[in-house]
Amino acid sequence: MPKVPLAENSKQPSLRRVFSWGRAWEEAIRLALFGCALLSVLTTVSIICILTWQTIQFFRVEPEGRPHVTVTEFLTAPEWTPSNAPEQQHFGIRPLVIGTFMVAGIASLIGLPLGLASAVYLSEYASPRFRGFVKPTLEMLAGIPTVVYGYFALLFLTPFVLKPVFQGLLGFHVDTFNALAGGITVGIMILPMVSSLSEDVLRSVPRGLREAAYALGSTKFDVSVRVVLPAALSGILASCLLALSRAVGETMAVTIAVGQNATGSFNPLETTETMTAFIVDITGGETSVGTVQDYSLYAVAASLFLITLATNVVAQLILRRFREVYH
Amino acid sequence: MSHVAPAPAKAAGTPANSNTPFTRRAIGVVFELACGSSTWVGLLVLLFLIGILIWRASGYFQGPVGVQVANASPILVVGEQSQEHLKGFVKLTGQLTVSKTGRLEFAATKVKKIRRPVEEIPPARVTLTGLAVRPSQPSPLEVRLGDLVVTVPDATTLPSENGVWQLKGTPVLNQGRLSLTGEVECELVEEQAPAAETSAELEGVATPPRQTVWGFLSNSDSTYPGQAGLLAGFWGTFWVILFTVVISIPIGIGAALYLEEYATANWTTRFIQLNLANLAGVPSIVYGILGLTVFVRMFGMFKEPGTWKVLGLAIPLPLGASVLSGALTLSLLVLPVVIIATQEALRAVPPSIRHGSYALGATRWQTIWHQVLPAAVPGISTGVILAISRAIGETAPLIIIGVPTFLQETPGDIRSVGQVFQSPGDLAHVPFSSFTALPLVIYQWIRQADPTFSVSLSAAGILVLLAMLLALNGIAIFIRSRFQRQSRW
Repeated sequence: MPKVPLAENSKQPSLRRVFSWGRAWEEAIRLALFGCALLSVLTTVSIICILTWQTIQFFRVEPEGRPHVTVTEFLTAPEWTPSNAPEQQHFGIRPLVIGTFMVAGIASLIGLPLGLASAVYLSEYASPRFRGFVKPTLEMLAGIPTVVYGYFALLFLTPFVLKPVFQGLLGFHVDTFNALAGGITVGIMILPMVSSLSEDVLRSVPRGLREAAYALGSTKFDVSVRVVLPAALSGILASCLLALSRAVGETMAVTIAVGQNATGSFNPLETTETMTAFIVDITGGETSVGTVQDYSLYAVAASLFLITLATNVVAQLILRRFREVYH
Repeated sequence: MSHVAPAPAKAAGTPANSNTPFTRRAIGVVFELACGSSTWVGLLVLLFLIGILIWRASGYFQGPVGVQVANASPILVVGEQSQEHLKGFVKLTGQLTVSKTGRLEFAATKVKKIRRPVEEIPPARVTLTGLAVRPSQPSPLEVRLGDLVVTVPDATTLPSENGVWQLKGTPVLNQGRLSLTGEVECELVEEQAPAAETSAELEGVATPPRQTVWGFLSNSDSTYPGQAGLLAGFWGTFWVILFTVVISIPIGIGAALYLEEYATANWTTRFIQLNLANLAGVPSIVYGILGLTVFVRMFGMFKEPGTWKVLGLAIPLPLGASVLSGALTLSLLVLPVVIIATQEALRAVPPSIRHGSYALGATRWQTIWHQVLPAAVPGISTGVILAISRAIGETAPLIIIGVPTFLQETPGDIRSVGQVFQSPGDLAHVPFSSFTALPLVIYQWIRQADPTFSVSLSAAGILVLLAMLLALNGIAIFIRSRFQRQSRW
């Protein structure tokens, strides 16, 4: 522990100007801590710089056997086949985007209503004891590694639920890898997140609003649906957006369950490929540095980052406004 | 938020379509039931998942005795057979079937153990005898032998007419179908015969794949399911998480201290805050790409891989997919989580403690080090443990940076705790050696075609992983509840 010597010379105009090792030490600590905080900004900056730079390279590199990829081709071409022979290589991100949003859409159809309903139950109906038991359990569900969900989708959901129902009962063909299994699993994954975030939002709606509604003769249903939910609407929207961005960025469960064939099909029972699954696929396949396949990894990652960043920023801004209203 | 104010008025003003007390009550009950049941969905899924895993994993440890025959797909021997006979070179007689779960099952009626010198052991051969139907088209080259559909890749050896045939070859399971590879021999036994039963004879070196739990934990990964284990994944995870903790926790706590104790509410602070919230939402795969470029490849600055000798250590440059690269990548990933959790813990320390310390003449750092940090330790450690459990389960960033999913070596070749004390020199190699991690091993198992790997082994691996996470979560909950009771304010 450094000693802080008192300023002995009383002629000094201000204590501030006295140099002491103790003060230098304090200042050094302040700077070191500031450096730690700055590291998070540095992370963001380097993510943005690397993705931008390598994506530019993706459009500039001249692959052997085919003309270089143009931005128009990347955005509009209907096929994504980077591992083909150079003449048949196509770099249109559309199939990946379709796959990604189909999985995220199915996930939202499952996760958002269930998560919201459980948030309403936990905040409006449940006893504190039940809530005290359910919240940690749901947190545990959220903490399960995503590989485990991949196992669940590929080796339980598809063979034991989807195949008997859709193939056996209804007569559709179900692929071993399909978007529906991935979507349902990601839906289960985002459920605890929606539930926990929305519950916080619902509980921060002031009691006064609820009590006023009860005083006017409302039932619990009226209070929940017509007072609390509308009042918390913006916060709930933000939590849904955060969950959606999580679903878009989800990797392992989707890679395992959905497959690695960018068909761009809209049929949820068929194999498809998401952006994240492509990135895992191509890095597992040992691409060499500087090839167009290697750069395509960065281009896809940049698109993914843009989508999730936009969703997150909007959600953060909405949440901030929500907090300003009630705090 | 202009719509907030009229909402209660609307609720009170319009009894809406629920006019009678009965319908009002019915709607309320239905709504409560719907909301309550969706809460249970999450809990039931959790229970269900664990149930499935235990069911699937138990098959691996206590299923029927199986035989692993040399280079063939593993064959499950159904029926009461003494395990003693199923070791070494064996000859089995019985019926070979492909079960619904996609395994090769051998209902053996006779088991014979043959003693042979190791040099003379031929590759596993199966002899199938049965009424064969000539393939209708050359591709796919399928022969129906009774109920069994056999694929023969070599077209020249195919049965040319119907009759009782004998097929010899190495049995391999290919996409749920039995396929004969190697030198396939086809021989017509009888030309016309009444429906003959399919019979099979199998010869090869057998190892029973029944695994003990201890063997599963103490073996390295293997291509034979009977010998595969988690050791390499376990040590890899241990070292990478240890380094992640050492790197991310001081930096994370430092950043949170700056933001909570030093920073004034200006735009820089607001920007850092918003940035943190966004970083926490960046998909983990993007961190993988960051790690790949910065740590593994080091921006391609080094045209040829070299080593940098410092303090007697040979540091490879660029770092490659080593323990250190993995730990640095995971540190960036968990930093926002650690910072946000620490900030919350620091905010919960009442200002009166700080004011009291200042009033006694302590400097800012003295106040933080002696008062604020000790008071916030329970909150910080809970957050840190949760961040660690997230890092343990992360798979995607490690795959992106090129960490191998199949590896038998442990980092620094340390395979037991005792070795750390016996030869501490090995520790120096740990940060720069390649590694694999638990979730990666599980991922690799899930993707195998052989169901013993994908269904049973991976379930067993997942249970071990979940047990570790559960223990960590338990510690976090314990710390939280214990210190909540003891807090002094």
